[in-house]
Amino acid sequence: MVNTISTYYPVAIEMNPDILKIENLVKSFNGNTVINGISLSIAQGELSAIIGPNGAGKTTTMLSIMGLNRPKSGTITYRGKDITGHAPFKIARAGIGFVPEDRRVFPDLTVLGNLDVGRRTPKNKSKKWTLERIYKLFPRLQEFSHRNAGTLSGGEQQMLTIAGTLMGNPDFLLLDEPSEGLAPIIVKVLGEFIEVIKQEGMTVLLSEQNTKFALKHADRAYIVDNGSIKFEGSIDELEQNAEIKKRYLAV
Amino acid sequence: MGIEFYLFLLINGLSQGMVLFIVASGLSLVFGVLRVINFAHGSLYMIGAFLAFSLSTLLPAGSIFSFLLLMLLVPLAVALLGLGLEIPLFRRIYGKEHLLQLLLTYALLLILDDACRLIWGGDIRNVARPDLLAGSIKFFDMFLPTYNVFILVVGPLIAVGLWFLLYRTRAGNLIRAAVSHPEMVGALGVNVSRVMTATFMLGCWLAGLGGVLMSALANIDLGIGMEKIIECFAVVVIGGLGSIGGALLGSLILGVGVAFIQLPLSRAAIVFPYFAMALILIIRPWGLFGKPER
Repeated sequence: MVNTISTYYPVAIEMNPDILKIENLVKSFNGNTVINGISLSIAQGELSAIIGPNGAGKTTTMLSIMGLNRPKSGTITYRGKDITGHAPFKIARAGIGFVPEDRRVFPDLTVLGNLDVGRRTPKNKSKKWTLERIYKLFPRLQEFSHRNAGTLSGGEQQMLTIAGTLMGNPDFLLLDEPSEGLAPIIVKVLGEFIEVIKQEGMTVLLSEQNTKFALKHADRAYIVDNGSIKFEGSIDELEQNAEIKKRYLAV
Repeated sequence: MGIEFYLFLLINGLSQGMVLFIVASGLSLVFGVLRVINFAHGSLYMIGAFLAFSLSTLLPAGSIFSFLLLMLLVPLAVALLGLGLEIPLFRRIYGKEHLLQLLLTYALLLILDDACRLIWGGDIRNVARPDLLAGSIKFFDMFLPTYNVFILVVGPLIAVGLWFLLYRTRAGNLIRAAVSHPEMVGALGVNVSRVMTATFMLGCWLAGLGGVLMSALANIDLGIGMEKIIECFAVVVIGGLGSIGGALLGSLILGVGVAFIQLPLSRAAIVFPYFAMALILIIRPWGLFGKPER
Protein backbone atom coordinates (compact mmCIF):
# COMPACT_ATOMS: atom_id res chain seq x y z
CA MET A 1 0.00 0.00 0.00
CA VAL A 2 1.94 2.97 -1.26
CA ASN A 3 0.55 6.37 -0.57
CA THR A 4 0.99 8.57 -3.58
CA ILE A 5 -0.59 11.76 -2.32
CA SER A 6 2.65 13.57 -3.05
CA THR A 7 2.13 13.20 -6.76
CA TYR A 8 -0.91 15.46 -6.52
CA TYR A 9 1.18 18.24 -5.08
CA PRO A 10 4.12 18.55 -7.42
CA VAL A 11 4.69 22.24 -6.64
CA ALA A 12 7.49 21.75 -4.16
CA ILE A 13 9.20 19.32 -6.46
CA GLU A 14 9.11 21.72 -9.35
CA MET A 15 10.71 24.42 -7.27
CA ASN A 16 13.33 22.09 -5.87
CA PRO A 17 14.48 19.54 -8.41
CA ASP A 18 15.16 16.03 -7.20
CA ILE A 19 18.81 15.51 -6.61
CA LEU A 20 18.59 11.83 -5.79
CA LYS A 21 16.26 9.36 -7.42
CA ILE A 22 16.06 5.68 -6.62
CA GLU A 23 14.02 3.48 -8.90
CA ASN A 24 12.94 -0.04 -8.04
CA LEU A 25 15.94 -0.93 -5.94
CA VAL A 26 16.21 -4.64 -5.15
CA LYS A 27 18.90 -6.16 -2.97
CA SER A 28 19.22 -9.65 -1.58
CA PHE A 29 21.74 -11.38 0.61
CA ASN A 30 22.16 -15.13 0.17
CA GLY A 31 18.77 -15.44 -1.52
CA ASN A 32 16.91 -13.40 1.12
CA THR A 33 15.43 -10.26 -0.33
CA VAL A 34 16.24 -7.35 1.96
CA ILE A 35 14.96 -4.56 -0.27
CA ASN A 36 12.13 -5.33 -2.61
CA GLY A 37 11.58 -2.52 -5.07
CA ILE A 38 12.24 0.69 -3.14
CA SER A 39 11.81 3.96 -5.06
CA LEU A 40 12.48 7.40 -3.62
CA SER A 41 12.95 10.94 -4.86
CA ILE A 42 14.78 13.43 -2.72
CA ALA A 43 14.35 17.09 -3.47
CA GLN A 44 17.16 19.57 -3.10
CA GLY A 45 17.25 21.21 0.31
CA GLU A 46 14.79 18.79 1.89
CA LEU A 47 15.26 16.53 4.85
CA SER A 48 13.66 13.17 4.16
CA ALA A 49 13.42 10.48 6.78
CA ILE A 50 13.29 6.75 6.19
CA ILE A 51 11.50 5.37 9.18
CA GLY A 52 11.16 1.72 9.99
CA PRO A 53 12.10 -1.07 12.37
CA ASN A 54 15.37 -2.96 12.46
CA GLY A 55 15.86 -5.05 9.34
CA ALA A 56 13.38 -3.03 7.29
CA GLY A 57 16.05 -2.21 4.71
CA LYS A 58 17.04 1.32 5.77
CA THR A 59 20.76 0.72 6.11
CA THR A 60 20.87 -1.46 3.00
CA THR A 61 19.31 1.38 1.01
CA MET A 62 21.91 3.82 2.33
CA LEU A 63 24.78 1.44 1.57
CA SER A 64 23.45 1.01 -1.96
CA ILE A 65 23.33 4.77 -2.51
CA MET A 66 26.92 5.04 -1.30
CA GLY A 67 28.13 2.20 -3.50
CA LEU A 68 29.03 0.10 -0.48
CA ASN A 69 26.88 -2.76 -1.69
CA ARG A 70 25.78 -3.73 -5.15
CA PRO A 71 22.02 -3.86 -5.73
CA LYS A 72 20.55 -6.78 -7.64
CA SER A 73 18.51 -4.45 -9.78
CA GLY A 74 17.25 -0.90 -9.88
CA THR A 75 18.93 2.42 -10.56
CA ILE A 76 20.19 5.23 -8.39
CA THR A 77 20.52 8.61 -10.07
CA TYR A 78 22.28 11.56 -8.48
CA ARG A 79 21.88 14.96 -10.14
CA GLY A 80 20.76 13.22 -13.32
CA LYS A 81 23.72 10.85 -13.44
CA ASP A 82 23.44 7.10 -12.92
CA ILE A 83 25.66 6.22 -9.98
CA THR A 84 24.41 2.66 -9.42
CA GLY A 85 27.30 0.43 -8.40
CA HIS A 86 29.94 3.14 -8.74
CA ALA A 87 32.96 3.07 -6.42
CA PRO A 88 32.20 4.72 -3.05
CA PHE A 89 35.00 7.26 -3.45
CA LYS A 90 33.53 8.42 -6.75
CA ILE A 91 30.08 8.75 -5.21
CA ALA A 92 31.60 10.74 -2.34
CA ARG A 93 33.40 12.98 -4.81
CA ALA A 94 30.10 13.57 -6.60
CA GLY A 95 28.97 15.27 -3.39
CA ILE A 96 27.31 12.61 -1.23
CA GLY A 97 28.43 12.33 2.37
CA PHE A 98 27.73 9.20 4.42
CA VAL A 99 27.52 8.88 8.19
CA PRO A 100 27.26 5.15 8.96
CA GLU A 101 25.21 3.83 11.84
CA ASP A 102 28.03 2.29 13.81
CA ARG A 103 30.14 5.42 14.36
CA ARG A 104 33.01 4.38 12.21
CA VAL A 105 35.74 6.61 13.57
CA PHE A 106 39.35 5.65 12.98
CA PRO A 107 40.19 4.66 16.57
CA ASP A 108 43.99 4.89 16.33
CA LEU A 109 43.95 8.33 14.76
CA THR A 110 43.53 11.52 16.75
CA VAL A 111 40.35 13.52 16.44
CA LEU A 112 42.27 15.92 14.22
CA GLY A 113 43.57 12.98 12.16
CA ASN A 114 40.02 11.72 11.66
CA LEU A 115 38.94 15.14 10.42
CA ASP A 116 41.99 15.25 8.16
CA VAL A 117 40.98 11.99 6.48
CA GLY A 118 37.60 13.48 5.59
CA ARG A 119 39.00 16.81 4.40
CA ARG A 120 38.25 17.49 0.77
CA THR A 121 37.50 20.59 -1.28
CA PRO A 122 35.13 19.77 -4.10
CA LYS A 123 36.04 21.16 -7.50
CA ASN A 124 34.66 24.59 -8.36
CA LYS A 125 32.97 24.95 -5.00
CA SER A 126 33.52 27.16 -2.06
CA LYS A 127 34.81 25.37 0.99
CA LYS A 128 31.93 25.72 3.39
CA TRP A 129 33.13 23.47 6.15
CA THR A 130 36.44 24.39 7.68
CA LEU A 131 38.06 23.10 10.84
CA GLU A 132 37.13 26.37 12.57
CA ARG A 133 33.45 25.93 11.75
CA ILE A 134 33.46 22.29 12.78
CA TYR A 135 35.06 23.20 16.10
CA LYS A 136 32.53 25.97 16.63
CA LEU A 137 29.70 23.53 16.05
CA PHE A 138 31.26 20.72 18.11
CA PRO A 139 33.43 22.36 20.79
CA ARG A 140 34.20 18.98 22.36
CA LEU A 141 36.10 17.95 19.26
CA GLN A 142 38.42 20.94 19.60
CA GLU A 143 38.96 20.17 23.26
CA PHE A 144 39.90 16.57 22.41
CA SER A 145 41.58 17.30 19.07
CA HIS A 146 44.80 15.50 20.02
CA ARG A 147 43.18 12.52 21.71
CA ASN A 148 42.80 9.20 19.94
CA ALA A 149 39.29 8.87 18.57
CA GLY A 150 38.98 5.43 20.15
CA THR A 151 39.01 7.01 23.61
CA LEU A 152 35.96 9.20 22.96
CA SER A 153 32.48 8.43 24.28
CA GLY A 154 29.81 7.07 21.94
CA GLY A 155 28.20 10.49 21.53
CA GLU A 156 31.52 12.17 20.83
CA GLN A 157 32.38 9.48 18.29
CA GLN A 158 29.05 10.09 16.58
CA MET A 159 29.77 13.82 16.38
CA LEU A 160 33.26 13.06 15.06
CA THR A 161 31.89 10.77 12.35
CA ILE A 162 29.49 13.49 11.26
CA ALA A 163 32.21 16.14 11.44
CA GLY A 164 34.61 14.00 9.40
CA THR A 165 31.98 13.60 6.68
CA LEU A 166 31.25 17.34 6.70
CA MET A 167 34.96 18.02 6.14
CA GLY A 168 34.41 16.58 2.66
CA ASN A 169 31.92 19.42 1.99
CA PRO A 170 29.11 17.19 0.71
CA ASP A 171 25.89 18.71 -0.61
CA PHE A 172 23.80 15.68 0.20
CA LEU A 173 24.16 13.93 3.53
CA LEU A 174 23.12 10.38 4.41
CA LEU A 175 22.64 9.97 8.17
CA ASP A 176 22.11 6.34 9.11
CA GLU A 177 20.40 6.04 12.48
CA PRO A 178 22.40 8.84 14.06
CA SER A 179 20.45 8.88 17.33
CA GLU A 180 20.80 5.17 17.99
CA GLY A 181 22.21 4.41 21.41
CA LEU A 182 22.85 8.03 22.31
CA ALA A 183 21.94 9.65 25.61
CA PRO A 184 18.94 12.02 25.38
CA ILE A 185 21.13 15.07 25.89
CA ILE A 186 23.35 14.07 22.97
CA VAL A 187 20.29 13.39 20.83
CA LYS A 188 19.27 16.98 21.56
CA VAL A 189 22.68 18.26 20.40
CA LEU A 190 22.32 16.12 17.29
CA GLY A 191 18.89 17.65 16.63
CA GLU A 192 20.33 21.16 16.93
CA PHE A 193 23.08 20.20 14.51
CA ILE A 194 20.53 18.86 12.02
CA GLU A 195 18.60 22.15 12.21
CA VAL A 196 21.83 24.08 11.51
CA ILE A 197 22.69 22.14 8.38
CA LYS A 198 19.06 22.28 7.21
CA GLN A 199 19.15 26.05 7.44
CA GLU A 200 22.26 26.02 5.30
CA GLY A 201 20.32 24.26 2.59
CA MET A 202 21.89 20.82 2.98
CA THR A 203 19.83 17.99 1.52
CA VAL A 204 19.58 15.16 4.02
CA LEU A 205 18.36 11.59 4.00
CA LEU A 206 17.93 10.45 7.58
CA SER A 207 17.22 6.87 8.55
CA GLU A 208 15.71 6.35 11.97
CA GLN A 209 14.00 3.91 14.26
CA ASN A 210 13.44 6.83 16.60
CA THR A 211 10.20 8.06 15.04
CA LYS A 212 9.82 11.06 17.33
CA PHE A 213 13.29 12.32 16.46
CA ALA A 214 12.79 11.73 12.75
CA LEU A 215 9.38 13.45 12.57
CA LYS A 216 10.65 16.43 14.54
CA HIS A 217 13.27 17.29 11.93
CA ALA A 218 12.02 15.83 8.65
CA ASP A 219 10.13 17.54 5.83
CA ARG A 220 9.12 14.24 4.26
CA ALA A 221 8.83 10.71 5.49
CA TYR A 222 9.16 7.30 3.93
CA ILE A 223 7.96 4.44 6.06
CA VAL A 224 9.63 1.18 5.19
CA ASP A 225 8.91 -2.31 6.41
CA ASN A 226 10.04 -5.66 5.09
CA GLY A 227 12.04 -4.10 2.31
CA SER A 228 9.38 -1.94 0.72
CA ILE A 229 7.88 1.50 1.18
CA LYS A 230 4.54 1.52 2.97
CA PHE A 231 4.01 5.25 2.98
CA GLU A 232 5.54 8.34 1.50
CA GLY A 233 4.52 11.92 1.94
CA SER A 234 5.04 15.10 3.86
CA ILE A 235 5.02 15.11 7.63
CA ASP A 236 1.59 16.79 7.62
CA GLU A 237 0.21 14.05 5.41
CA LEU A 238 1.64 11.47 7.73
CA GLU A 239 0.10 13.19 10.76
CA GLN A 240 -3.30 12.98 9.08
CA ASN A 241 -3.01 9.33 8.15
CA ALA A 242 -4.36 7.58 11.21
CA GLU A 243 -4.08 4.10 9.78
CA ILE A 244 -0.42 4.36 8.89
CA LYS A 245 0.35 5.99 12.21
CA LYS A 246 -1.39 3.22 14.07
CA ARG A 247 0.15 0.46 12.03
CA TYR A 248 3.76 1.56 11.73
CA LEU A 249 4.44 4.31 14.21
CA ALA A 250 2.77 2.65 17.19
CA VAL A 251 0.82 5.84 17.94
CA MET B 1 89.84 -8.93 23.93
CA GLY B 2 89.17 -5.51 25.36
CA ILE B 3 86.21 -3.21 25.33
CA GLU B 4 87.15 -2.21 21.78
CA PHE B 5 86.26 -5.65 20.55
CA TYR B 6 82.89 -5.65 22.21
CA LEU B 7 82.15 -2.19 20.90
CA PHE B 8 83.03 -3.42 17.44
CA LEU B 9 80.63 -6.33 17.90
CA LEU B 10 77.97 -3.94 19.06
CA ILE B 11 78.41 -1.62 16.07
CA ASN B 12 78.36 -4.59 13.75
CA GLY B 13 75.24 -6.01 15.35
CA LEU B 14 73.49 -2.66 15.35
CA SER B 15 74.25 -2.02 11.69
CA GLN B 16 73.01 -5.49 10.71
CA GLY B 17 69.96 -4.73 12.85
CA MET B 18 69.37 -1.40 11.09
CA VAL B 19 69.36 -3.01 7.65
CA LEU B 20 67.05 -5.66 9.02
CA PHE B 21 64.80 -2.93 10.41
CA ILE B 22 64.57 -1.17 7.06
CA VAL B 23 63.51 -4.41 5.35
CA ALA B 24 61.25 -5.66 8.16
CA SER B 25 59.46 -2.33 8.53
CA GLY B 26 58.36 -2.72 4.90
CA LEU B 27 57.00 -6.20 5.58
CA SER B 28 55.27 -4.99 8.72
CA LEU B 29 53.77 -1.94 7.01
CA VAL B 30 52.39 -4.03 4.17
CA PHE B 31 50.89 -6.47 6.62
CA GLY B 32 49.50 -3.71 8.85
CA VAL B 33 47.62 -1.99 6.05
CA LEU B 34 46.94 -4.70 3.49
CA ARG B 35 46.71 -7.70 5.85
CA VAL B 36 48.89 -9.73 3.52
CA ILE B 37 52.07 -11.41 4.69
CA ASN B 38 54.31 -11.03 1.68
CA PHE B 39 56.64 -14.03 1.57
CA ALA B 40 58.29 -12.51 -1.50
CA HIS B 41 59.45 -9.48 0.52
CA GLY B 42 62.90 -11.02 1.07
CA SER B 43 63.20 -11.65 -2.67
CA LEU B 44 62.50 -7.97 -3.35
CA TYR B 45 65.29 -7.13 -0.91
CA MET B 46 67.61 -9.52 -2.75
CA ILE B 47 66.66 -7.99 -6.09
CA GLY B 48 67.55 -4.60 -4.60
CA ALA B 49 70.97 -5.90 -3.57
CA PHE B 50 71.69 -7.45 -6.99
CA LEU B 51 70.40 -4.40 -8.83
CA ALA B 52 72.78 -2.31 -6.73
CA PHE B 53 75.61 -4.63 -7.75
CA SER B 54 74.77 -4.45 -11.47
CA LEU B 55 74.27 -0.72 -11.45
CA SER B 56 77.50 -0.15 -9.49
CA THR B 57 79.52 -1.79 -12.28
CA LEU B 58 78.23 0.92 -14.63
CA LEU B 59 79.05 3.84 -12.33
CA PRO B 60 82.44 5.33 -11.44
CA ALA B 61 83.89 3.22 -8.63
CA GLY B 62 84.72 4.74 -5.28
CA SER B 63 82.61 7.84 -5.70
CA ILE B 64 80.18 8.68 -2.93
CA PHE B 65 77.86 10.09 -5.57
CA SER B 66 77.70 6.73 -7.31
CA PHE B 67 76.63 5.14 -4.05
CA LEU B 68 74.07 7.84 -3.31
CA LEU B 69 72.74 7.34 -6.83
CA LEU B 70 72.35 3.62 -6.06
CA MET B 71 70.46 4.51 -2.89
CA LEU B 72 68.21 6.76 -4.93
CA LEU B 73 67.57 4.61 -8.00
CA VAL B 74 67.51 1.03 -6.75
CA PRO B 75 64.73 1.43 -4.14
CA LEU B 76 62.69 3.30 -6.75
CA ALA B 77 63.20 0.46 -9.21
CA VAL B 78 62.09 -2.09 -6.61
CA ALA B 79 59.07 0.07 -5.79
CA LEU B 80 58.16 0.12 -9.48
CA LEU B 81 58.52 -3.64 -9.58
CA GLY B 82 56.14 -3.64 -6.60
CA LEU B 83 53.68 -1.58 -8.62
CA GLY B 84 53.92 -4.17 -11.37
CA LEU B 85 53.11 -6.90 -8.86
CA GLU B 86 50.42 -5.08 -6.91
CA ILE B 87 48.07 -4.14 -9.71
CA PRO B 88 47.72 -7.54 -11.41
CA LEU B 89 48.33 -9.83 -8.40
CA PHE B 90 48.27 -8.51 -4.83
CA ARG B 91 45.19 -6.35 -5.35
CA ARG B 92 43.19 -9.52 -5.98
CA ILE B 93 44.06 -11.19 -2.69
CA TYR B 94 43.36 -8.44 -0.15
CA GLY B 95 40.79 -9.73 2.30
CA LYS B 96 40.93 -13.25 0.87
CA GLU B 97 41.70 -16.34 2.93
CA HIS B 98 45.25 -16.73 4.21
CA LEU B 99 45.93 -19.90 2.23
CA LEU B 100 45.36 -18.07 -1.03
CA GLN B 101 47.63 -15.23 0.05
CA LEU B 102 50.31 -17.67 1.11
CA LEU B 103 50.11 -19.54 -2.18
CA LEU B 104 50.47 -16.37 -4.22
CA THR B 105 53.27 -14.74 -2.26
CA TYR B 106 55.20 -18.00 -1.87
CA ALA B 107 54.88 -18.68 -5.59
CA LEU B 108 56.21 -15.18 -6.20
CA LEU B 109 59.14 -15.90 -3.89
CA LEU B 110 60.06 -18.95 -5.96
CA ILE B 111 59.63 -17.10 -9.25
CA LEU B 112 61.61 -14.03 -8.19
CA ASP B 113 64.39 -16.11 -6.64
CA ASP B 114 64.74 -18.15 -9.82
CA ALA B 115 64.67 -14.97 -11.88
CA CYS B 116 67.63 -13.77 -9.80
CA ARG B 117 69.42 -17.05 -10.47
CA LEU B 118 68.85 -16.62 -14.21
CA ILE B 119 69.97 -13.00 -14.26
CA TRP B 120 72.81 -12.91 -11.74
CA GLY B 121 73.84 -16.55 -11.32
CA GLY B 122 75.13 -18.19 -8.18
CA ASP B 123 78.30 -16.14 -7.67
CA ILE B 124 78.96 -14.29 -4.47
CA ARG B 125 78.98 -10.55 -5.10
CA ASN B 126 79.31 -7.29 -3.30
CA VAL B 127 79.35 -3.59 -3.97
CA ALA B 128 82.59 -1.78 -3.18
CA ARG B 129 82.15 0.86 -0.51
CA PRO B 130 82.73 4.38 -1.74
CA ASP B 131 86.07 5.83 -0.64
CA LEU B 132 84.42 8.24 1.75
CA LEU B 133 82.72 5.37 3.63
CA ALA B 134 85.44 2.74 3.23
CA GLY B 135 87.74 3.68 6.08
CA SER B 136 87.38 3.98 9.81
CA ILE B 137 86.27 6.71 12.13
CA LYS B 138 88.20 7.40 15.30
CA PHE B 139 85.90 7.19 18.27
CA PHE B 140 87.82 8.16 21.43
CA ASP B 141 90.80 5.86 20.94
CA MET B 142 88.98 3.21 18.93
CA PHE B 143 88.49 2.87 15.19
CA LEU B 144 85.00 2.09 13.90
CA PRO B 145 84.24 1.13 10.30
CA THR B 146 82.77 4.23 8.64
CA TYR B 147 80.24 2.30 6.59
CA ASN B 148 78.71 0.72 9.67
CA VAL B 149 78.47 4.14 11.28
CA PHE B 150 76.85 5.40 8.07
CA ILE B 151 74.19 2.69 8.35
CA LEU B 152 73.67 3.64 11.97
CA VAL B 153 72.82 7.13 10.72
CA VAL B 154 70.64 6.03 7.80
CA GLY B 155 68.58 3.53 9.86
CA PRO B 156 67.30 6.04 12.43
CA LEU B 157 66.71 8.58 9.64
CA ILE B 158 64.45 6.05 7.92
CA ALA B 159 62.72 5.31 11.23
CA VAL B 160 62.07 9.01 11.84
CA GLY B 161 61.03 9.50 8.21
CA LEU B 162 58.54 6.64 8.44
CA TRP B 163 57.20 7.97 11.72
CA PHE B 164 56.82 11.43 10.23
CA LEU B 165 55.09 10.07 7.14
CA LEU B 166 52.69 7.88 9.11
CA TYR B 167 51.91 10.25 11.99
CA ARG B 168 52.41 13.74 10.65
CA THR B 169 51.09 13.78 7.09
CA ARG B 170 47.69 13.33 5.49
CA ALA B 171 49.03 10.37 3.50
CA GLY B 172 49.93 8.74 6.82
CA ASN B 173 46.48 9.46 8.22
CA LEU B 174 44.93 7.82 5.16
CA ILE B 175 47.21 4.78 5.48
CA ARG B 176 46.44 4.35 9.18
CA ALA B 177 42.72 4.98 8.66
CA ALA B 178 42.68 2.29 5.97
CA VAL B 179 43.99 -0.17 8.59
CA SER B 180 40.76 -0.01 10.59
CA HIS B 181 38.00 0.91 8.12
CA PRO B 182 39.06 0.90 4.46
CA GLU B 183 35.47 1.07 3.21
CA MET B 184 34.84 4.19 5.31
CA VAL B 185 37.96 5.86 3.92
CA GLY B 186 36.48 5.19 0.48
CA ALA B 187 33.11 6.63 1.51
CA LEU B 188 34.95 9.81 2.49
CA GLY B 189 36.07 10.26 -1.11
CA VAL B 190 39.50 8.68 -0.98
CA ASN B 191 40.58 6.23 -3.67
CA VAL B 192 41.54 3.45 -1.27
CA SER B 193 43.02 1.23 -3.98
CA ARG B 194 45.53 3.94 -4.64
CA VAL B 195 46.39 4.23 -0.94
CA MET B 196 46.96 0.47 -0.85
CA THR B 197 49.10 0.46 -4.00
CA ALA B 198 51.19 3.31 -2.58
CA THR B 199 51.62 1.47 0.72
CA PHE B 200 52.72 -1.69 -1.07
CA MET B 201 55.19 0.33 -3.13
CA LEU B 202 56.55 1.94 0.02
CA GLY B 203 57.06 -1.52 1.50
CA CYS B 204 58.97 -2.57 -1.64
CA TRP B 205 60.98 0.67 -1.57
CA LEU B 206 62.13 -0.20 1.94
CA ALA B 207 63.09 -3.73 0.83
CA GLY B 208 65.09 -2.23 -2.03
CA LEU B 209 66.85 0.27 0.22
CA GLY B 210 67.78 -2.52 2.63
CA GLY B 211 69.21 -4.44 -0.34
CA VAL B 212 71.41 -1.53 -1.44
CA LEU B 213 72.75 -0.96 2.07
CA MET B 214 73.45 -4.67 2.53
CA SER B 215 75.23 -4.98 -0.82
CA ALA B 216 78.13 -2.94 0.58
CA LEU B 217 77.91 -4.26 4.14
CA ALA B 218 78.36 -7.96 3.43
CA ASN B 219 78.56 -10.43 0.57
CA ILE B 220 75.39 -11.11 -1.34
CA ASP B 221 74.32 -14.33 -2.99
CA LEU B 222 71.12 -16.16 -3.92
CA GLY B 223 70.49 -17.16 -0.30
CA ILE B 224 70.13 -13.69 1.19
CA GLY B 225 66.45 -13.27 0.27
CA MET B 226 65.34 -16.39 2.11
CA GLU B 227 67.66 -15.60 4.99
CA LYS B 228 66.26 -12.08 5.33
CA ILE B 229 62.58 -13.04 5.09
CA ILE B 230 63.07 -15.51 7.95
CA GLU B 231 64.81 -12.83 10.02
CA CYS B 232 62.01 -10.42 9.13
CA PHE B 233 59.41 -12.88 10.39
CA ALA B 234 61.34 -13.22 13.62
CA VAL B 235 61.48 -9.42 13.89
CA VAL B 236 57.76 -8.90 13.38
CA VAL B 237 56.91 -11.72 15.76
CA ILE B 238 59.16 -10.18 18.39
CA GLY B 239 58.15 -6.58 17.77
CA GLY B 240 54.51 -7.13 16.82
CA LEU B 241 53.16 -7.34 13.26
CA GLY B 242 52.18 -3.97 11.89
CA SER B 243 54.16 -1.94 14.41
CA ILE B 244 57.05 0.13 13.06
CA GLY B 245 58.46 0.78 16.54
CA GLY B 246 58.26 -2.95 17.18
CA ALA B 247 60.15 -3.64 13.96
CA LEU B 248 62.92 -1.29 15.12
CA LEU B 249 63.24 -2.86 18.55
CA GLY B 250 62.95 -6.41 17.20
CA SER B 251 65.61 -5.76 14.55
CA LEU B 252 68.07 -4.31 17.03
CA ILE B 253 67.52 -7.17 19.48
CA LEU B 254 68.10 -9.65 16.69
CA GLY B 255 71.07 -7.88 15.13
CA VAL B 256 72.92 -7.35 18.40
CA GLY B 257 71.87 -10.74 19.78
CA VAL B 258 73.24 -12.64 16.79
CA ALA B 259 76.46 -10.58 16.81
CA PHE B 260 77.19 -11.42 20.44
CA ILE B 261 76.01 -15.00 20.44
CA GLN B 262 78.14 -15.74 17.38
CA LEU B 263 81.14 -15.32 19.66
CA PRO B 264 80.68 -18.42 21.83
CA LEU B 265 78.42 -20.37 19.48
CA SER B 266 79.77 -19.43 16.02
CA ARG B 267 77.50 -21.01 13.37
CA ALA B 268 75.01 -22.17 15.98
CA ALA B 269 74.08 -18.51 16.52
CA ILE B 270 71.70 -19.03 13.62
CA VAL B 271 69.23 -20.50 16.11
CA PHE B 272 69.01 -17.21 18.01
CA PRO B 273 66.21 -15.66 15.90
CA TYR B 274 64.09 -18.80 16.27
CA PHE B 275 64.81 -19.00 19.97
CA ALA B 276 63.89 -15.34 20.50
CA MET B 277 60.76 -15.78 18.40
CA ALA B 278 59.66 -18.86 20.35
CA LEU B 279 60.28 -17.11 23.64
CA ILE B 280 58.14 -14.13 22.63
CA LEU B 281 55.39 -16.41 21.32
CA ILE B 282 55.25 -18.06 24.72
CA ILE B 283 55.27 -14.97 26.91
CA ARG B 284 53.68 -12.33 24.70
CA PRO B 285 52.22 -13.86 21.52
CA TRP B 286 51.24 -10.50 20.01
CA GLY B 287 54.79 -9.16 20.20
CA LEU B 288 56.43 -6.45 22.27
CA PHE B 289 54.68 -3.53 20.57
CA GLY B 290 51.75 -5.34 18.99
CA LYS B 291 48.17 -5.51 20.15
CA PRO B 292 46.29 -8.72 20.95
CA GLU B 293 43.95 -9.72 18.14
CA ARG B 294 40.36 -8.75 18.82
